[in-house]
Amino acid sequence: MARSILKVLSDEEVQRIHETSLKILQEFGAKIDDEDLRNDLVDLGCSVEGDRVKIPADVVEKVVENVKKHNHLTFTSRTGYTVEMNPDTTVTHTAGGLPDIIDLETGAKRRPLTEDFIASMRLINQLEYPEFPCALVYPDDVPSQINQVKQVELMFRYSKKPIYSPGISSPGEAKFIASLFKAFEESYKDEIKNPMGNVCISPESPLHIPQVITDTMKEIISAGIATSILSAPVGGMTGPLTLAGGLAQVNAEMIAFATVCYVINPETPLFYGSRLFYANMKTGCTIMGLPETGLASAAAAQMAAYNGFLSDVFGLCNTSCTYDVQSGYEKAINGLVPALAGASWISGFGSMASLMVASYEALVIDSEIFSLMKRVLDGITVNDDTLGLDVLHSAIEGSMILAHPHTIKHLRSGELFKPDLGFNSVWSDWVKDGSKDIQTVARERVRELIEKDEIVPLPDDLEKEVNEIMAEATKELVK
Amino acid sequence: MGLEQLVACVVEADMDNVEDMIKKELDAGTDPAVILKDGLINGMDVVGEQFESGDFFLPEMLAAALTMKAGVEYLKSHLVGDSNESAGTVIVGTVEGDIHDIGKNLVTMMLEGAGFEVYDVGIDVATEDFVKAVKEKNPQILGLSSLLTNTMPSIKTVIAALKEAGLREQVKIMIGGAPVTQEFADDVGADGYASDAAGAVALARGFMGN
Ligand code: B12
Repeated sequence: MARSILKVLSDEEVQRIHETSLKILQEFGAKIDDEDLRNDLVDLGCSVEGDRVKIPADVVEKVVENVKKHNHLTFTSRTGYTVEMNPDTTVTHTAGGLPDIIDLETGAKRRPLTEDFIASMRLINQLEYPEFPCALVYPDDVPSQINQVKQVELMFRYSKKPIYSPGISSPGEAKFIASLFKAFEESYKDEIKNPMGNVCISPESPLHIPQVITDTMKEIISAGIATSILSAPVGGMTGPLTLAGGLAQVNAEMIAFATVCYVINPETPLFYGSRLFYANMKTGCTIMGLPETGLASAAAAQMAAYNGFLSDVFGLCNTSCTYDVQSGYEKAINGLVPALAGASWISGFGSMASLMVASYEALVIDSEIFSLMKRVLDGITVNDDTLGLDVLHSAIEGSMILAHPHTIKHLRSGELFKPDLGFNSVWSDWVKDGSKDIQTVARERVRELIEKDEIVPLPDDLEKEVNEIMAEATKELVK
Repeated sequence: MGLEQLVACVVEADMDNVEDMIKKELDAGTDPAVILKDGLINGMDVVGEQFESGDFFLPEMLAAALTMKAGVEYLKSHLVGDSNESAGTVIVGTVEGDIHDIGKNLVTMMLEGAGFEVYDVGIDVATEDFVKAVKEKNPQILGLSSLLTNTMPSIKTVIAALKEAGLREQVKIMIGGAPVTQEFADDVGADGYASDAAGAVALARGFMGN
């Protein structure tokens, strides 16, 4: 089990939700458009009624056992930045695919361009968190048919961290994305034995894996590229409004998807990418800052752990459209709750306005927010030394605690959090420093950090190969 | 008297009893047109007010609309003339390359609830299929949904194709979807934009002169 400090579901509740998922899989099954895959699933022990595949408990057990075998992973970027993931770790990634960005100069919302995409990668390189960039924005100056291939190319080029690729839903693009993965991993294979990133694929809620998605899976899952299954029911619209019902559905969709992966390629590592979320029920528009976002993510982390998956959940998400208190509390609640519940991957960095707008300042601020969370996750070390009897005793004897070696030692080892961005002094100092709010401080930092980031060029042969792949993709896909 | 009960029936979305209640009214000799206007439609008006004022949310609104629809369906054979005429005809679809349909479905349901006849042409709809549908169904309104900045340009393409086919003038075009804005609507020459499904209904009513 993940190192979970917080349980939003009791063990009995987890089990009950899982049993409901088994019932869903057995009685309703999943709609799978691809006939050949349906036949393969029958061979595995499933039954088929029309286009619905019903998955019995013994098949689920087999699939879940296999998932567990792949829940210790190490990712390494081409520049050597390494991230371990296993049931005891919590790491982070940015939000992905945001349609707009806040212009750093004017503060206005506008469509992002390739240069924004690159700048966001360079900024993330210089931040402590997240450990993985996702394709934060959709560059508006790239043809739509190859947009996601381009995103992956740019991530591999400019990110010094392993990459969290966008959600793909087109087999045409998937093929070239798999080629990029292969080209990069082959090119560095002497130094780097680990995967350099993952991709995401979404089933449709409720319980449908369309033909384009299974075709996409055939490109990605066959290639063995680690995949986050992004199951995204909207509570009350494409899934039950109740969190328990939504969780049972997500859990069933994960297992159904994993079962299809099992027949395509059982060696591919899978992540439990719960994207259970809710809408403003007056307007119908989806909003991410509700506390249910964090609560559902925490519960999903528990469900994932129960089935031996590493989880990947919403996190630093908000509804707020500016850098205000609302933004701060929404992000803090929705990030901290799943983090405490042992989520493996926390998302949302750099986003605002319910995943519709990206912001450079938000990236910087979110890194800081997560640093605070990380301190909470690190918890309290209790041993003879930290219990501090000696230092207390010496104080009673008359010596100074402040200058005591115990104080110095533990201050140095990080017992107390030191903000990198946030204000940490008193009012008069704040005034002396220009009475700046966090956005202003963050904006100054953005410029500094991007400037500091040195671009590491690709080796010549890889450069050539990547250009060939992109030319081929353009030729084949852009009409 | 009894019609108050029918109003309550719609407001509470009491689907099981709506037909019985209408039957009782008919048996008592109430004019079907009155049942429709003062019972069913009045019920929806109350729901509309509750929705505006904050007590009702989308689920209550839709459930009431479904109840009213069932009532109208039952009443239909008793209505003479054009008293059950639809509020207008609308074609709704998600543009080419885009499979997001939750918002479009919501718009469809809300329009139906408001008495429009809606043809939902589905997702990933090719431009020529929109043109074909407009030609065939001759709607007063076309609703285009797009959830991807990538597919938003298709809205422009559809509008251009309708112009080309000489159909642009006969249909009002409203557009929506999370990344769509009023500015974009003005840019591409759509007739209206709404940020949510209730707004889509208001737009459609406006187009029909109500
Ligand atoms: C659910 C969802 C999905 C589901 C869709 C399920 C389905 N059957 O529709 C799945 C998982 C399949 C999916 C797939 C993809 N998605 Co998606 N998805 C979403 C999400 C989270 C919510 C959308 C939603 O349904 N909301 C609920 C409904 C009710 O709201 P709505 O559609 O906005 O509709 C409201 C209004 O807009 C309005 N409205 C809607 N239509 C119309 C029409 C008219 C005429 C009018 C007047 C009004 C109107 O009324 C509704 C409210 O009352 C959004 C994020 C977001 N904040 O919107 C991303 C989002 C739209 N998706 C995105 C992306 C990138 C994708 C994928 C490419 C990647 C992927 N994840 O696989 C694929 C695209 C596949 C394709 N070719 O279309 C991006 C878009 C980025 C961009 N630059 O445009 C978003 C913004 C998320 C993100 N940040 O990454 N997605």
